[in-house]
Amino acid sequence: MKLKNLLLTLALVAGTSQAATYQIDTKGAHAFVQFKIQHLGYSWLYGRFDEFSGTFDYDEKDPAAASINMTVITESVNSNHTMRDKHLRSDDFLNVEQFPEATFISTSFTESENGHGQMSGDLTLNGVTKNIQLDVKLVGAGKDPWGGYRRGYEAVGEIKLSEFNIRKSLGPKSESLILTISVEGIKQK
Amino acid sequence: MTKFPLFTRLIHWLSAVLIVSLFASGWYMVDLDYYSPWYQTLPDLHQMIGVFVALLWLFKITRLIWASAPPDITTLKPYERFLSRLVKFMFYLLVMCLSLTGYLMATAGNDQHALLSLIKLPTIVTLDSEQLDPLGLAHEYMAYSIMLLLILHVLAAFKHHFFDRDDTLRRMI
Repeated sequence: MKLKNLLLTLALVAGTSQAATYQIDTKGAHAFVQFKIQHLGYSWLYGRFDEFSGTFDYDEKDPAAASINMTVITESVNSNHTMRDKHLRSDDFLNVEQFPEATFISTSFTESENGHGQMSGDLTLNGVTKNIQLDVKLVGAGKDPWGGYRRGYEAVGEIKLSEFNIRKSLGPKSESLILTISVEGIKQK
Repeated sequence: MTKFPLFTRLIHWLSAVLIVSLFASGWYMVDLDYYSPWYQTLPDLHQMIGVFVALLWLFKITRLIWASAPPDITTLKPYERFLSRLVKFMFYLLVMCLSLTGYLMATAGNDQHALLSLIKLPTIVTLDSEQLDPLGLAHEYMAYSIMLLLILHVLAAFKHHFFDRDDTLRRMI
């Protein structure tokens, strides 16, 4: 009897704590990997990566178990300037020939209130893996008009270029950039 | 001794100066510091001189149809004749391909600026940004090839002048 109860409890716990997996909606382009970096200290330059993919897990009953896994195709860097993008792909910056992918794999999530929180994870960029902190904001979640369920976040973090072995100097005000990852996930059935 | 026509000699030496300048500026500008005063002007100058050389060489190659070259020096051995023709042909091919790849890269995105605020090169072919990487590599390797050919060309000129003591070099001066 005891064993049966235990098994039942375990089954219930397992059942309720089963996190839902969300596919990041790159197909509908409802997700963005953006960055901004200062130009000479006088303005912000914005750029983005056009090709990436990923999934995240989230369970309302166990937010601390939330996780995300993303892969970015580095050669898809786009800053609205063809020759600059060529330079960004070169070994002065992203070194895309040697490191065609950048990845982010979360290691922990601490939810504060309203679904927001702090996420840390391993960012692999230019062949270097470093743990970075992201400030995560829940934008919203709910049913979509087409029978699915969606959840969206925006995460912001700062990256120091030299920590990822990007040595080309762009001046003292441009040593780090602000990374913004804005994703909408579609719940997988 | 029959010299090359004056105009041919002028084009030859002008091209020599410009092509060496293009190589030097190209080699130097890719590693310029972002805060260097040359960071914006040198690539513009490189592109403008590049376009000028391309036009000059289009004219130079077209001119082969009607311009007369002096007859070959009689003491030339058959292999020398063959090699000189081959190197000359490679120069034509490489200069035109270098110009073409440079032009395509500079104008691929249709977002180019006016060079030194003077001339905006028109886009002929729009390319995806990723397609520029192989073009850039080709441009680089062809530039090194031209410099190798140039060394060969100069060594051959010296050989004819100092060892064979013929008129090969004098005809071009």
